[in-house]
Amino acid sequence: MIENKMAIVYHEPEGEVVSRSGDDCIVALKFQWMLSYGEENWKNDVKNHVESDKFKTYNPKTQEEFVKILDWLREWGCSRTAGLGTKLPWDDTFVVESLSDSTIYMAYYTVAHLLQGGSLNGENPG
Amino acid sequence: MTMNAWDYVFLGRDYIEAECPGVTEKQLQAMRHEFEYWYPMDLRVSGKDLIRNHLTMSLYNHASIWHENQEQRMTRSYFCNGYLMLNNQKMSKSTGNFMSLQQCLKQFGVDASRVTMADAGDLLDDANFDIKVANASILKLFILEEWIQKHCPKSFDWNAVADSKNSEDKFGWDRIIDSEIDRIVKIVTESYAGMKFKNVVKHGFSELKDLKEAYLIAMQG
Repeated sequence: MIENKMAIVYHEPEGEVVSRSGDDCIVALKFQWMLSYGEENWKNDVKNHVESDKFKTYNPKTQEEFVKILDWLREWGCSRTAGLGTKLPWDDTFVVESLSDSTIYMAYYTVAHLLQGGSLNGENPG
Repeated sequence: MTMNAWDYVFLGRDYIEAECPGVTEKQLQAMRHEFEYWYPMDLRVSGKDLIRNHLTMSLYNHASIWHENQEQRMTRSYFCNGYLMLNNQKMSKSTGNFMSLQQCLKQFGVDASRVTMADAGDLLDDANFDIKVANASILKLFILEEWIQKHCPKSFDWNAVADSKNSEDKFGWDRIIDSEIDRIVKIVTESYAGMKFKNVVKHGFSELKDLKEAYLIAMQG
């Protein structure tokens, strides 16, 4: 039907979207950068680790959940134009979206004390 | 911090002075040392709602950034918990069913708060912080402390007891207690390692306490 131009592809959000401040939102489909979490090699690296004896979840249900998600996860938007964030290195009209931005902060935490010069509010550079 | 500076710290790349303005190799060396000391991450504790996005993405991005050295850099364990309920109802600021950690510590004290939280439930099910359990915990801890202070003062000579034990243990009760304690220590150690804190409270606190009561009754003959 689409080929014969008798129908068009139509998407709409699953439910109403309301912002934290309580306003109704309008959802728009706009250009943005995606990470392809479904890519086979990348996925298999993670999958091998999750299923190895070097990774523990303390609970078979949690383990099951991780394995399931690995097969479900595909492209994921990793950029946005509003709010605070780190600029995308290859496109500075975008900043890194917060979920993606927070995935390796534990590595940063190991050195943060050296960069913050002993103060938490940024009064001294490290 | 430039790309090269971060590569030096996280990936073990060489120091290129021209690409690291304002930071010496010595400073970066100190950062690399910290990073390599702490990584890989042994445990990350987080909510079950983050399994399908943040936690999995974190694994992906670790695998990608440390592609050459995944074995040494991938997170070793995730512990996921459910939500915390208060008196069997969802915590919510709007309904007033809400308690901050600070309010909790002020109301019940550190020890009773700890026992109640440990007893609130493990794993993916929602944990329930029950004020009745918290109040009961205060009482139990208070009575136990009283008993310990009365019968085992700081000046108590434990060595003397240990030496005289076998000769006085006519009915074998001390040996039974010893063996029971060994058994419970094993369960509790395994429960701690498996993050099963409800089990820790059950065996390491309640069962040991009951054992003590049983022992005292037995010794009275």
